[in-house]
Amino acid sequence: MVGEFATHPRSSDGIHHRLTRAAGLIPAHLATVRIAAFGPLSDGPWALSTVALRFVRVLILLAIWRTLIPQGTVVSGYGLGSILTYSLVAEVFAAQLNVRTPIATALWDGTIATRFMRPMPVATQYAAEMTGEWALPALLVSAPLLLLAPLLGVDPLPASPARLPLFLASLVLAVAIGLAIDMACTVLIVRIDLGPWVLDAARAVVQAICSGAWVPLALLPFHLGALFDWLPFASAASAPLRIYTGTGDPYRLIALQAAWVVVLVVAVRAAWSASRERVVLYGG
Amino acid sequence: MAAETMRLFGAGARMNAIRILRTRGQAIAHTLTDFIWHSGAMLAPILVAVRFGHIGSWPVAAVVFMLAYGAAVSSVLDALGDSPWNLSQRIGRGQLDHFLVQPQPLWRTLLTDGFTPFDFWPVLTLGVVLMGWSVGRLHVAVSPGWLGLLGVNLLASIAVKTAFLYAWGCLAFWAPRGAEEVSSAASSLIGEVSFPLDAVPRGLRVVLVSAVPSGLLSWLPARALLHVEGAGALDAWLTPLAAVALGACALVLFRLGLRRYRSTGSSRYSDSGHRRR
Repeated sequence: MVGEFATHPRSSDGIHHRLTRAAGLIPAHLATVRIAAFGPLSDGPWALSTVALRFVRVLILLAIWRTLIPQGTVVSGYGLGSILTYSLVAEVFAAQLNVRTPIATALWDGTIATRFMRPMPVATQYAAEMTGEWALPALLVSAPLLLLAPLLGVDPLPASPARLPLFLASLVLAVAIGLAIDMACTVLIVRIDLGPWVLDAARAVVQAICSGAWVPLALLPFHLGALFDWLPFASAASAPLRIYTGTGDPYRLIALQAAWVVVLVVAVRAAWSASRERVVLYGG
Repeated sequence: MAAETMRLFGAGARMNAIRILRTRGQAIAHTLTDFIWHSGAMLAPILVAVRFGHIGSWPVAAVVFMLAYGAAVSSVLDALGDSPWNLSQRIGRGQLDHFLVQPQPLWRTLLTDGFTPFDFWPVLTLGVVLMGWSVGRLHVAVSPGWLGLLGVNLLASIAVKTAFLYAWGCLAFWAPRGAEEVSSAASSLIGEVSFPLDAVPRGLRVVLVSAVPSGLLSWLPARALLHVEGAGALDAWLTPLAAVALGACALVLFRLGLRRYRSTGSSRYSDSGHRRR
């Protein structure tokens, strides 16, 4: 998205040449996805601890909602059924609704230096790595959660069949916004020389409160949700979940997401182009 | 013995202060980060409690107390250094040798290594202030006995988490490569509980106060201290009891592991100094 081949085109390159070059990069990216997918297995069975944690997290949240919203009542547009589905689907797509590439850590530990030497754009290398890292959690958490949903008393289906394609379109836009936000954070790290964990703290707070990935924004007090709805963080998480559960107008939400994608991609590309020469590495 | 331990704590505090004074910008950023991280983690459950006026039988102020208690436990543990979080790495990579060659008992090195009291005081202050606020709101009869019980429970929660991390970290004595990262996996497993666990299915609740004792780090002690509905008369002593049991278990595992380490040493590096994979 923000790769060098897009930001620094050589004047002699024609469109055909660029397309051929981009097609040639596909096998390299697929190989990166494959390597990243199997990476967590090298840690042995300990990789499963995060899996267990996610199951515990969703079970706690489902139990909490059952105590707060009695059967048959509707709170700010959410009945018990829709809030349970919301929480379950949020956990199933947790990685896609909170996009993190390894680029910030690589800047900090210095491994990004070797990435600049690979014949692939830096940003898409990390995007491919991130996609690969989704595989194991999808297999061990997302799929079992969807299959076990009826046992947990949750209806895992979308509000209507027509909502499913709209949800998938919205999810793709959410990932694109998440990637742009991740790159924006990387630019900040480069420009103000921050450790990645400094921004991670702020992002964790934003993710917990402003994105709606954990608690639906409509259920926040003081009408905070009405404000957060317009921010890109909500478009990166809350929008697809609201479309899935039938608690939001899909066309308005998707239009807002598309607008954020355009604004963020343009802004982040410009910011990265102006900042990439400032990359300083300390790692070793 | 105690004097030497206090001297090492003092040295850690002095080095912590020097680092902060020499790198003020970064030190402020790190301190703020830690503060934002902990206060932000508390904010979402508090907002939910405010929206509904309660979470189950827990009023808003009780939820705030529970989260503040958890923040206080975390900040004290963080101030005491990284040893519990890095134990498996240190064993797996053969770095335990660096501790064993020091002219002092191993326990003292592990206890005082990485002591950084000034990095974490904002979170501790936040926790203490919020606990005080919620106790006032809930009209809890604060007596010296109650404060003593609070102190005992706080120490017990810290001991529970330390013992849990040490018990898992000891696996690296037997599987230095395979279990090298088990300490960080264990720390993610025992993550702080953000919501009261009363509504959670009984089986999961039992797991969360025994095998993976997250519930002992804030939920169970807070429920007992505030006498929230469902708390038993002796609940305030459950966390200290669990701390003793888990601590003994961790100690036995550590001693067994250390005995094995003394006979096998670290097998992580080849004779020419390269790390084996």
